Amino acid sequence: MVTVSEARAADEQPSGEIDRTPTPRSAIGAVAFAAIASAMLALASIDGAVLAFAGTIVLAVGVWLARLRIVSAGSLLLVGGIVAAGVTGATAEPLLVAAVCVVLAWDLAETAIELGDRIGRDASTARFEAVHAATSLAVGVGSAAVGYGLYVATAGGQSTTAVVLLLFGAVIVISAFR
Amino acid sequence: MRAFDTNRWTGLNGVILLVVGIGIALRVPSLVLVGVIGIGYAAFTTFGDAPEPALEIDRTVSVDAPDPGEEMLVSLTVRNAGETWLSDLRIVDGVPPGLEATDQPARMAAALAPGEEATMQYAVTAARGEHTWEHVRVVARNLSGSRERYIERSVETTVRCVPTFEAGSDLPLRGLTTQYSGRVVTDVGGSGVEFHSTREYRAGDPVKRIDWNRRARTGELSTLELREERAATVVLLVDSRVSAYVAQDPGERNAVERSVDAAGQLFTALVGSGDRVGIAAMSPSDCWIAPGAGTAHGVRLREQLGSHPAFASTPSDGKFYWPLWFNRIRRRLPRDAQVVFLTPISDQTAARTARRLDAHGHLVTIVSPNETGDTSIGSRFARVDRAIELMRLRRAGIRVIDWGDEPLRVAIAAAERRWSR
Repeated sequence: MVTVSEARAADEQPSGEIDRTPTPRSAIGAVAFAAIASAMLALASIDGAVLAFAGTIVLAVGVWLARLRIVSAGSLLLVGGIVAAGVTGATAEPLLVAAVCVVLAWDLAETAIELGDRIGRDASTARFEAVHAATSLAVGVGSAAVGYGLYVATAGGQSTTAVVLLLFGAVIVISAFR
Repeated sequence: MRAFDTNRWTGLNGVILLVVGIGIALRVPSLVLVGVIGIGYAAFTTFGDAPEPALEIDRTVSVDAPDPGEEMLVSLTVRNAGETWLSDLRIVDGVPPGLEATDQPARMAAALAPGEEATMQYAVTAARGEHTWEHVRVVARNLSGSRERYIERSVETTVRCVPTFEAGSDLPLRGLTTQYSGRVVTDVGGSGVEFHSTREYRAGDPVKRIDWNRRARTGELSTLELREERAATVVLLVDSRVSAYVAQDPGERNAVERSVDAAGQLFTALVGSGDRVGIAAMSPSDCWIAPGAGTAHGVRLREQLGSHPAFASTPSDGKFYWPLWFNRIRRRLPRDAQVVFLTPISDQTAARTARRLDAHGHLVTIVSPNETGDTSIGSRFARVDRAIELMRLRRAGIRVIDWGDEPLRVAIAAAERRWSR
């Protein structure tokens, strides 16, 4: 005999009632952005692209299994790909695009897993996910634009030190915010 | 409630430092540039606290008084009544414990501009009883999801689901009766249908009942005595302690739901045949309707069975003290009342109650929904344990109807065959 009260006490809805797998839209978006990042790196450097491709696969597996740790590991591999590409002398533009894509991929994957867990795959989440992805994309594009502007401005003669100093300035401003 | 960190972007700063550090150490300006994007996102995460949502929440249910098993459509509309953007809202509706959202979860994620509203719809299957919705739980986050706030809003909605019990399961009653005429055949001689005995003629005996054959044979006047048919007083006692909420599978109807259903069928038949019927629950929440007869009484019983918390499909709160409860029920039971005890016999207390009531002179008939399975060793043990308990009860002279998956009337018919042997 199963005491029903115990089975229902854990949550008002029995687990298994809600499909808690990641929401499909964000999950597909995450994998797509990771793939774009790898493609961008492939334009610049083969070494970086190999790492990034591995990262994409790991991230996809992580989303499939709804495991945030695996997703984070995949994202780190993608970052590793960017670093490898940068070290082997890639130009700045594909790196910037790849970096925005990597952050977006991680962000969307996390959203997919978290939403699936808390709200459920079948609930209405389309607009929410669209707003979320759009905001993240806007932030990425905005900071890439600022960074690229700085880069173009400083590439004319000043050294990287100027960029670094500017960055530190930015970091101090951000810490002041907190 | 206060907002708190979600730790969603933890580690971002470390990654930025790593990438920028490698960029500086190896003099790769493009990597330093990549760091700028990370700093952009880091700034984004510090931007804004989790909003304090000003929400207008409205819930509508398609039917107020559904029949059991009927689908109800519930729609929850959430409106952003404040001035701020609510970019990240997760809303979970507090579906009553006795109901379950069937096709879609009662959950929604929404992003609302000021004045905008979002609606979620889900269906629940009505179950017997009174159901009140619990708090709507809302989680609001800031734009980046780095800060989070949890709030609860109460939206009053109550649905009452009173079933129409089908009549028909005629339970053979035991010979403890009232002075009113009814359908229980007694051992008392008088007017009736079935032959009982003959006795000497006394002045005033009805002419119809004089045994004319005997008069012709012997010349003596004698009177036929027939078995009197009288009405009984029956109290339907439903076991709804926490331990009676057992089911073969967690998703299926539990023993209490089946017991209440059976009580509904029995009382309809009993009231229809003129018996006096009352209802009591063996439960933490007190429930007692004294035996009575008539249409109005029948309606009261139906209402009580349909919506009293003691008969709900989930256990009622509170502690159950058997001695107190037993004293109370014993004082309440009329002297001539027989008890129909509906219990799964999931523990010793139920059997003890039956024996004690029987000892106090209330003839007891047990209707016991069988919810033991044979899937595991534990459930097989429970099945054997229950079978032994039933055997002991029968040996003690208590009638037991062991009610498996078949309709109640089939179980009663099967038990009746055994009784008449």
